[in-house]
Amino acid sequence: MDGGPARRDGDGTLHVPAGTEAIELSYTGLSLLAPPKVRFKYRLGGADSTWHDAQGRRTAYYSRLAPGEYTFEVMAANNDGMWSTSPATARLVVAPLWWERRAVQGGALTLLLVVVGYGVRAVSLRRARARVAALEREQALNRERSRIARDLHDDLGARLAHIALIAETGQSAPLERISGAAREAMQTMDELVWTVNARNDTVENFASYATQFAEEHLRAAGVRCRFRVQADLDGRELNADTRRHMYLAFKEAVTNAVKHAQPSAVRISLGIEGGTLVLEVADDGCGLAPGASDPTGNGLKNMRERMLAIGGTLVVDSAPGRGARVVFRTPLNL
Amino acid sequence: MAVTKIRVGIVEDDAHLRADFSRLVNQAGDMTSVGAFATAEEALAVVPAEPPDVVLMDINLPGLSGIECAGRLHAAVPQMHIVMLAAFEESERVFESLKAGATGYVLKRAPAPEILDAVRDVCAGGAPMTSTIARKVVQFFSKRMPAPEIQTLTDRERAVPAALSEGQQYKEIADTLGISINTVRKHIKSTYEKLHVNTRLDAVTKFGRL
Repeated sequence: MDGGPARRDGDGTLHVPAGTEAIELSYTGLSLLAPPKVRFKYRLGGADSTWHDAQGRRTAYYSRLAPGEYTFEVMAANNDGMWSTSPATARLVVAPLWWERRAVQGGALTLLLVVVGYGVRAVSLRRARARVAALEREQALNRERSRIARDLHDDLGARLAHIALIAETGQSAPLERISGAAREAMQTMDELVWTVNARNDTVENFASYATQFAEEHLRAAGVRCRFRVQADLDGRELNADTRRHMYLAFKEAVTNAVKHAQPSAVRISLGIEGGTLVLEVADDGCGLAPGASDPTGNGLKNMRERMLAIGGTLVVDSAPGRGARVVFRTPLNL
Repeated sequence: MAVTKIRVGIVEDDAHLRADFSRLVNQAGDMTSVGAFATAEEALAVVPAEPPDVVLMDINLPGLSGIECAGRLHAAVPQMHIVMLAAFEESERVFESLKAGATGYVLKRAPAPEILDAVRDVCAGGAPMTSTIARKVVQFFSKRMPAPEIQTLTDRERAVPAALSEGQQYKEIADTLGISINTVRKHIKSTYEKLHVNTRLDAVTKFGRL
């Protein structure tokens, strides 16, 4: 057996170690009359289905036996051709290599199935997620299209209708009214275009547009304005929805300050703290008692709703005679 | 005494608006429309031969843009003023025009008197600079301008845009710095000139020639 004898235990079982290449089984039969004329046949139960005729050879060769239990049977015939009545047997046990063990093979198969299963699951999950993301994108696009259509209709359409009606209903000073209404329509249009244009989805652009509005509005009202805008806003993105809500909330804060607080000056500061865009509008006007009803009607409520919609916050800090400070905060990574 | 009228050229692609602007200029009394062009290419072919005092330039033109047209006209006729007509949301493009060679800008939706004032203003040596544009100028000076060019900026040429970007008005700046409003204007004008020089140098490094 691969150059050495097999181990034989108490009950005569031959133990073949794992990985044995060649096995040589020797046997013999006794014949007192004519030993050279004795014939043999053998069979390895578990590997052979038929008997091998060995003639007078007294060895059987096997190679690479699969792990398991075998029974080696030998029969002998004497010089008269009389076969022995029952074979001589020997039990043979071939030990498995570690990867030939059932438990290991079962484990490997299970592992393979698990890995394949996970792979399939991951692929189908990824596909499902991509489908959901595509649907969400489509939905967001549809929402945005509906909003643009609504704004065009409600804001721009209403103003154009207003212009036509001024011309047709004989109001006093119709020309001034028409040019005023037309310029308002142009501003509405400008804001719509700014909101929609993806080129503007940056904090820097938001800062420019917001300060421009404030400067124009405050100057026209004779209110002094001061800006403190962080210098290095370059490259910071601001998504369209956040940009629009922030702008409209900011616009409301500035117009409310002018309309209700009679300030002499308004200070506006804008910067990024951590991942948060912080925009502050502070006036030196008449201020507001804590818990007092909103003098602007729905102004505060509108601003709060807008900030809520973009996951941001609104803080109003004011006291009678001490002006008001409105701080908008919104996360930038949304 | 006969006063010389300001000669105004107009570049605007919309036919109605082009006629409106011409009418507006001619009605002003102190100015006259000397040519109205529908495209930048048309303007570039005609204007340099007999340049007006001021060109009112739509910032959005089909083909060559208003910014490009301003740059080429300024290179051809440096003493001519160019006033950009822009929308509120185009401050970045306005700044690009100012770098290219424009000396003024006005909102296209501004009331007619404001547009006429913008033309008069640049002719009188004025230079408009809103806080938004001032902030872009300050940023340009601090980040993108080459170091040798920064050396040529005077303290005032830095201080004035910085103060404007904070929202101060010409009068406030004049008071703070102890100078006249006219001097403030001069500083702004020279600031713009340095933007132009700088942009031309950019062009040299980029294309190897002017």
